[in-house]
Amino acid sequence: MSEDNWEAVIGLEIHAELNTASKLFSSDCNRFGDEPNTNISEVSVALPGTLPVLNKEAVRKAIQFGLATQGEVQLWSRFERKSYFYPDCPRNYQITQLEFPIVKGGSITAFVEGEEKRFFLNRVQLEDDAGMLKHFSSFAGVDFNRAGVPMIEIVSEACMHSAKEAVAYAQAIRSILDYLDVSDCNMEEGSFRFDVNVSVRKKGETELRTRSEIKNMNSFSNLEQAILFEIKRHIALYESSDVVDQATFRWDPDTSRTILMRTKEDAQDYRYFPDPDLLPLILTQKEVDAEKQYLPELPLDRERRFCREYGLSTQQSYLFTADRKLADYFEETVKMCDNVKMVANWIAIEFAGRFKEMGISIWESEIQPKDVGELISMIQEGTITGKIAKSVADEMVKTPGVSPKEIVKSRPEFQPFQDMEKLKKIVEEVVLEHPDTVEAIKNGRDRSFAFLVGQVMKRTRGSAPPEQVNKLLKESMKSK
Amino acid sequence: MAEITEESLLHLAKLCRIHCSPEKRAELFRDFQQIVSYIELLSEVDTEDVDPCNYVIAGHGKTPLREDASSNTLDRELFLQIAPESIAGLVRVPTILTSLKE
Amino acid sequence: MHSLSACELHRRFIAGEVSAREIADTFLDRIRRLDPALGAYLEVFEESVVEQADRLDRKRQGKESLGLLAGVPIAIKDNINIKGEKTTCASKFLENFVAPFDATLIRRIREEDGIILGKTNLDEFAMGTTCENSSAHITRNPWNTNNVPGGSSGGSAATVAAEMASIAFGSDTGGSIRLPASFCGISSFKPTYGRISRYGLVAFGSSLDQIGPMAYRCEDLERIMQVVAVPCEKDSTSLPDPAFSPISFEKRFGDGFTVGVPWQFLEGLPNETRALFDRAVETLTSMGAKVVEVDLSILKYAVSTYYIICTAEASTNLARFDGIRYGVRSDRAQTLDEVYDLSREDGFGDEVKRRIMLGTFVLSSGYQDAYYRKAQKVRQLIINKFNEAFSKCDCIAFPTSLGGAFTFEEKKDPLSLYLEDLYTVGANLTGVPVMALPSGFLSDGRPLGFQLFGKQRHDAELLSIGRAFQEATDYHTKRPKGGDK
Repeated sequence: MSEDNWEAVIGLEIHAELNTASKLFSSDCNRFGDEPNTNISEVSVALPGTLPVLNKEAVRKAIQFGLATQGEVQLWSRFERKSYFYPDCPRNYQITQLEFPIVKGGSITAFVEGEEKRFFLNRVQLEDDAGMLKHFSSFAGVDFNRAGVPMIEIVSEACMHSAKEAVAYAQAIRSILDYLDVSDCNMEEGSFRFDVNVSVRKKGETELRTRSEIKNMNSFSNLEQAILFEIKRHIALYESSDVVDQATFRWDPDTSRTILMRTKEDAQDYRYFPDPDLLPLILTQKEVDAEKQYLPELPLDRERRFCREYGLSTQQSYLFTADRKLADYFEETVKMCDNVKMVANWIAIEFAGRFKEMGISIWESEIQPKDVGELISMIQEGTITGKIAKSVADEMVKTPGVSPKEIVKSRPEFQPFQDMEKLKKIVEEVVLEHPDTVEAIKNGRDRSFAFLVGQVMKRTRGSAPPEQVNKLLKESMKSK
Repeated sequence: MAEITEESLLHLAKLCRIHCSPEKRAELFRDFQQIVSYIELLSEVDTEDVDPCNYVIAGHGKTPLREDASSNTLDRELFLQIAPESIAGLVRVPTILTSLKE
Repeated sequence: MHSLSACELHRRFIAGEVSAREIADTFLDRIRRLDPALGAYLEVFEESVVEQADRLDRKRQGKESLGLLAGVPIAIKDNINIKGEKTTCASKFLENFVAPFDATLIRRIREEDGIILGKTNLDEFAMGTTCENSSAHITRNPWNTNNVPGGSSGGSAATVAAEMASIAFGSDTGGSIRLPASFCGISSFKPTYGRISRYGLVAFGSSLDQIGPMAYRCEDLERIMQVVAVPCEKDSTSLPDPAFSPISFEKRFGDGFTVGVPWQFLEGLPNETRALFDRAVETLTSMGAKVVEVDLSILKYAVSTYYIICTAEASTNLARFDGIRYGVRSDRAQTLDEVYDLSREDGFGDEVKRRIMLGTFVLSSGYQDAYYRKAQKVRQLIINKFNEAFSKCDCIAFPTSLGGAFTFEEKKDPLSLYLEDLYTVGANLTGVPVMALPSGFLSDGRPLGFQLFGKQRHDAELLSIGRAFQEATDYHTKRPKGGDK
């Protein structure tokens, strides 16, 4: 397959639920995980005679997102009815924005395979979410808790050309939503979802070819796989002189393939028209500008600052700033012990590795930044060796919240080797037992020094402070 | 002039979920054609420089905004009582055999 | 007692001249005797009315403060929600639906101690001109029971005409309050769009609908407007204007006022109708009006415009009736598709189905520009023309209909029924307030009404003219024969 002749063109539509207290057009509670049909109102289940009233906070959050992505917040936007019949949609129309969304344009910077790239947004629109349909063997049940929850749909331009770019873009959008605290961005809970449009064309072509739409990917890795699958499928069709039909697919993670949902012929006619129950959303420039003061340090700015202040590489910096809570954790830990390199290592490698199986991040655990800081300080001071520290870290994961100092105190094998007299004796013994090695070292074979160190470590079960061991060995050898 | 065929009428019925029994079809079809020809009258109006009416009341026109205070105003038991069928706190519907929507 | 105005009833109750229980018993008795032949009510709240009345009497005895509507018996069109009572919209779909919340209208009536008698008949989902589209039963015109009362608020109009309530509420999307009021010889008022909250009114044409009062006398309309025409935070289209307050005709228009008449547009009127209309205009002249001609020939397109917009909005407003969350779910339904298709097939009458299909059509891909968007543009033109007309006058006079109430099944053709709305839809398309007042009787005794359209948000001015008109005429004092006077 000559994939090199082909270019993929990808666009992403991201739906992010806003974390307001109440729903977009009604006062019922916006909260995940409660008993079914407990967070409802007559408006959100569309009883006859009910009317929508717009949530101020949802508007503010949409504005904040628009500002954070340098979009043009529209001072005049309006809502439309999008008609389709489905049990989880109480009115059998969604209230959304099509022709006049609240934000137009915008761009973000993402880190893709070692380099920074800029991606462009087309629009951001406010709309309400549907309820949830739960499938059982012989029937289905509808839970309307989610019906009416506010969402912003973030539509990108078709400006991505690889699965990796799409994933990096999605992650960058997620970071911004996270930093702004406008959404929980939780893929498992459904507060962050994406649909992707994929097409391919020959390199050099300017026109876009037929695209397919893929839905139902609930992780970044699914997103990547689905896109790769579709690109391959399109190319294969074109190369065998076949055509690509416009269609909608859903990603099936079990079989790792896209499955047809709807062809163009079955495509819905949504019959969008302006919702007569709502007036236009009119903002003043003053109101929009007022939201600027609520913008926190954004991911990109924090990334730049991490490079500057902490001397991290771009790659590391992106890693630590992707998640606001992780970045906060990092900075707090650095405050505790002031060794950026070690903090980076312990958070990104040591602890990350230990939490991988649990599927959580260190900031989600009970381990406090001050504990990580303390651990690093103890290593720096020589109180414990690097090796012991690893064991201490294992214990910290088992008993989160217990400080390293307490752990070390309670475990004699973690105690630093205190008895210098005893250490001197051990060193002497090792030196005496290996005269040839000592000779070799004296003759310039520095590498053999490590062997002696190893022997000492063996007899102290790794708890002897390395600097002391080195010092004592050298002193001992001098006299031989 | 819109061409109303029986096929287009059936398509329309499908879109808006109005099941039309064969007995009623002829009558509906005839009435529909008659009404649509009447509303064709609008095509003779010159609306070149006119914007569609967004909202009727002059001097007003901004949607009011509601404070983000939450309150669940519909009791679940009452809601499930009103529902034709419910089970385990959910509104019950027959199984979805095919994916009808997104 | 039943012939007293609402204002007078209220006064007598407050003064202790009559008890609320006596009022309640009088009206309940009247309903029991007259309604079987008329069919105006769908449901009478026998028990609750007695409770409401007893409570009022206790309040008065306890010298507690009483609201503006204390002692006034009121009927409600059955497309407005009353908590704990059925809202059927005269549809099979909702025949078992009990509303779990009050419409803002009802809340306001209760806050001011109005006595709510029951729910009145209508064309199904307010779609119709004769009340014959009700899935329950027909309602008869109290002036001649072979005739329709008009629609869609036929039940409310007949109730007031037969004095089975002092005031009734209807909803007006294209003339649904004014047409039946005129056919039944009573007064009615459609406020400026947004003046009365639509929260709790089952929506038909969202940008056109307004709840409005019906009574024999203008002063009763004004009284109740004071109570119910207030801003509502649950309705985004509600106007933030201060509560309605009646004004004095003498103060405002003592020096004269101007009435616009679109003579050219009225050229198709039958002779008798025209004669009565001319007489009404003469009366206005005698009240100090100057009559000017206004050009509203654009109204030639009003019915088309109206039917495109209202059905488009209705097709989406009625989409929620799907048998899933409430209403009647067809027991033949085995699959999800059948839940939708069969529940809606069984639940909706022919006119409702027709309008939903038309509404879907005018919004559908490929047709939306030519129909829906075009109609919204023509609507804007109509608004512009009315603005031009209103720059020359304070109000504009129209007949309500081509003639008086016709017989049952006389007009079966949907289109011919739509054309009955010719003189009324303009007010809904432009959002202006409009009242329809009794303007006399045809030679066969059928009542006729005429309309006065006012400027947006000038509801009080308009009603003050209405009150003055009723001081100069006596049509509104006539009552149908039969039943106690």
